[in-house]
Amino acid sequence: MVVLDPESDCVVIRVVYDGPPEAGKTTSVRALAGSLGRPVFTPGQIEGRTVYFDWLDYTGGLFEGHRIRCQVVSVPGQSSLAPRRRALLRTADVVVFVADSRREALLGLPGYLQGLAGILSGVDPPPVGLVVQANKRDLPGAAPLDEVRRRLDDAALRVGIVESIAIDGSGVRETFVFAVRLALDRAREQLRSGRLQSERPRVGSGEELLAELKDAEGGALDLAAADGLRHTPLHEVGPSLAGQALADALAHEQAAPRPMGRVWRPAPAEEQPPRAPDPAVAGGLIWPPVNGRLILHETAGLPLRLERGAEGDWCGTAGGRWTVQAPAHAGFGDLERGRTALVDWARIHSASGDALSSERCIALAEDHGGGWRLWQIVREQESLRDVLERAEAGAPAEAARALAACVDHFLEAARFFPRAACRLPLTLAGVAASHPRAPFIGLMPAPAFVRPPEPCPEPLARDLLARELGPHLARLLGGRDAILEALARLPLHEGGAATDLLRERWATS
Amino acid sequence: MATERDLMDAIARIEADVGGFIAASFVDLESGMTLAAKSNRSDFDLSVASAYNSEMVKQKLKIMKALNLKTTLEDMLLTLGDQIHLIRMITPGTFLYFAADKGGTNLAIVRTAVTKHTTGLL
Repeated sequence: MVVLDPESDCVVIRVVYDGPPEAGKTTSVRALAGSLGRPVFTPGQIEGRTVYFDWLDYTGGLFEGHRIRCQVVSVPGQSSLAPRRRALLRTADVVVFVADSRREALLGLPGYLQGLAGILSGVDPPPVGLVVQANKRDLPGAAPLDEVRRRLDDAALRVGIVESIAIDGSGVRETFVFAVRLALDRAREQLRSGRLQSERPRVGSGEELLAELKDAEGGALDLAAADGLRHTPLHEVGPSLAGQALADALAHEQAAPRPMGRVWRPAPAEEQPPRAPDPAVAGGLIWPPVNGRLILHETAGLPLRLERGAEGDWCGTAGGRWTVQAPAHAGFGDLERGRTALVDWARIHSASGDALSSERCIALAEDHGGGWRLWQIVREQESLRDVLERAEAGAPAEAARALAACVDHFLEAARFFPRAACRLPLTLAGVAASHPRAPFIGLMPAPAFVRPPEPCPEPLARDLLARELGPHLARLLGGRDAILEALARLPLHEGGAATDLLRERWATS
Repeated sequence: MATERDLMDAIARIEADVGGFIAASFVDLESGMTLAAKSNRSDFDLSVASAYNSEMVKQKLKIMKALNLKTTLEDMLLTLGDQIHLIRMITPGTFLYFAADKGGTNLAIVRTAVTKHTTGLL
């Protein structure tokens, strides 16, 4: 939807405010309008509820030398007007999801957000960014931010979170500016790929949008708007909307494999921890462009302590949720060389597709003293090693199930990892425990150490697995007979491979 | 993270300390969008001024890179015939843009007031 309007020399972006009924969408748009000194156009309200949309037009900022014209639109929240909501969301360049952050209102949040993600997945790439504006922070019962974040984790979506009290305007403008940055990341990607159209925007005012909606609907929703308008609690609308939206979802475009990057010169040794990237990293220096900035937004708000690794890298954990690493030999004296390295590394990530966990980003950030440094930020997920360590303290039946699952996942990973664009270390700590396709959840090899992928035939994979399992099996040795007995009780397709491997391994120990 | 209200409070405190106040805004460097803004003159378009000043800051940072200067940008002073404009970096991604009548104040007062009321803000 981003277009470059040649008449006004503006880049036109659309920021859509979505969210459940009475979460504060209209209040937020009005608070924003007050802050920006602009009027709001709201056609056809019924009993104070939005029937079509709220419209706010604001021009400010600069993008590549062009003024930025923001069309801010809120959707109607009632379930009876869901088609209208979907039509508006499909025109978004970024979505601000206004959520009531009280505990009882959070229950249906993951389902509602998955529905929204389904709608947005039907929008042409680059992906549409999503910011959650955790609203009503002043009310009793507002959940702590960690709890809100856990609820969002349930929806498995990459979002940025900003707290707000829309009724007094707190947090509304910060959310808006952050959303505009995400929309500009999208615009920059469109510009880079030659898809940024130079044309008059299809809709230039609230009145034109109203006319367009009415034309498209042919009056079909007017009855619903007049007759069916009612309060719809979030937990009621979530599943149905999610189902409808997911049915419409389309697969994202996958980038084609690209050649490998070069080997970079080593960075000078230093003792002061480098400056970790923050959401202010310039556009074009984050991959993936939109979701990457969302990840940086989250990690910037979490405590991070970086320590020097034995390999010369700097690594730390942000809030126990993200691993943040600056690989060794990935420092650059000038921006252009750093950007080249970033693009090469991003190509490797992109071409590795599903072999990599999706919750990760890379960035090039300015370091102390004017240098530049590459970073990777990877979501911490439960690995096969975590599962085994937990099982070691449990009953034999639990250990048997964990071992069976680990063997299956590890062998699946051995088949899957060579599809990546570079060689991925096959270890218990690097394979996801929960995902059926067992993606790689570890840190990508440092750019200087990227090697081409190699097939891993099953005998080799079994040898690797046996070596990895060694310390765990040693600790489980006391319960060997009970574990083997429990494995024998599992269906053959679940426990067969593990039984063979364990018998062989324990027989030789 | 300071809210818009915190930023507006900071602008109000600067205005109280500096004579000849015309306008001030906190600006997101990447987009040039204002995070908070106040103008005492209807003919002073602060949104436009903030956006173009963000380009100026970006250009200055590029110049520093080109000169291989291993340091940071603290502030930029622009003296017009009848106005003083000051740009002060608050974080690497945010700056304060401030304009005042030259006759009502001087550079030392402006710098002192801006530093005093913006340190540790973001």
